[in-house]
Amino acid sequence: MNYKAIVPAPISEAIGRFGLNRDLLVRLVTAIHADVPRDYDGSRRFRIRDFDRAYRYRIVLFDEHLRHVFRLAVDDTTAEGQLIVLGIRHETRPHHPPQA
Amino acid sequence: MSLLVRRCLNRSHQLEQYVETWQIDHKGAVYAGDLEELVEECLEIAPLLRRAWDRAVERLFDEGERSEKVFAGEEVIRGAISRVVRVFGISAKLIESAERAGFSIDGVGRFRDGLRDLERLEQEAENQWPPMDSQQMRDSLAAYQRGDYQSAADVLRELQGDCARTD
Repeated sequence: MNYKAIVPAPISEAIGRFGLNRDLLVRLVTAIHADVPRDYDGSRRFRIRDFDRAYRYRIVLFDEHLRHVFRLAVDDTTAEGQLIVLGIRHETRPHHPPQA
Repeated sequence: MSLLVRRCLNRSHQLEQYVETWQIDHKGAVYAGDLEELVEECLEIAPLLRRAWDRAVERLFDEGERSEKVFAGEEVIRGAISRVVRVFGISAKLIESAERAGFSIDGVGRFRDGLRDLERLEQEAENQWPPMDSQQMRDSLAAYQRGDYQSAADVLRELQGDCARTD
């Protein structure tokens, strides 16, 4: 089955509040669009405790100064073929790229 | 599962068993020597859990680690931490009974420090890697059900359109 990633309005708003630069924003949405469906089979078993209509997913991105981890709650039970992002959290820590 | 995570899992189960069988074997009687061994075992596992948790958080941010492995490790370590906190609690009560009965148990000071460290670790795990926001999940589901959503592909197209206009 071809799965499609869905972004409800509260998630778009939450992403907007993360304060990411445009490049990182595009990379995050690209990962939601492409990687969430791609990794579905391997990820769906990590159900969220007390909310088992959704499973957990993680996206790691780097920019010049920070490592960003986005943790997602993805609902695969409400609509067939749709992977609905119901939750997103963003954590960062300093990233020191190797010196040239 | 890494060897460190496996050690945490096995030793936390083993520690739990020690406490259970200790209670059955002694039926409330206090055997200071055994209790001291239990204290030692508790003290050995606490730093192991700390190391495993720190490594789990490091892996959370590691692009090269597969999410499945990260989440599986996190679940096991969280479970082990809760189990060991529970065992520390039971052991603390056994120590109190022993002390009331006039026994002096070696390592009690270190045990109480270890208990505090472990409670701090449990709290830290909650703060560093908090659960998903349940209100956000309910709001998102409600938004989806009233049709207030976009496909990620559409969001991406919009963003790229914005980029093109900006360029």
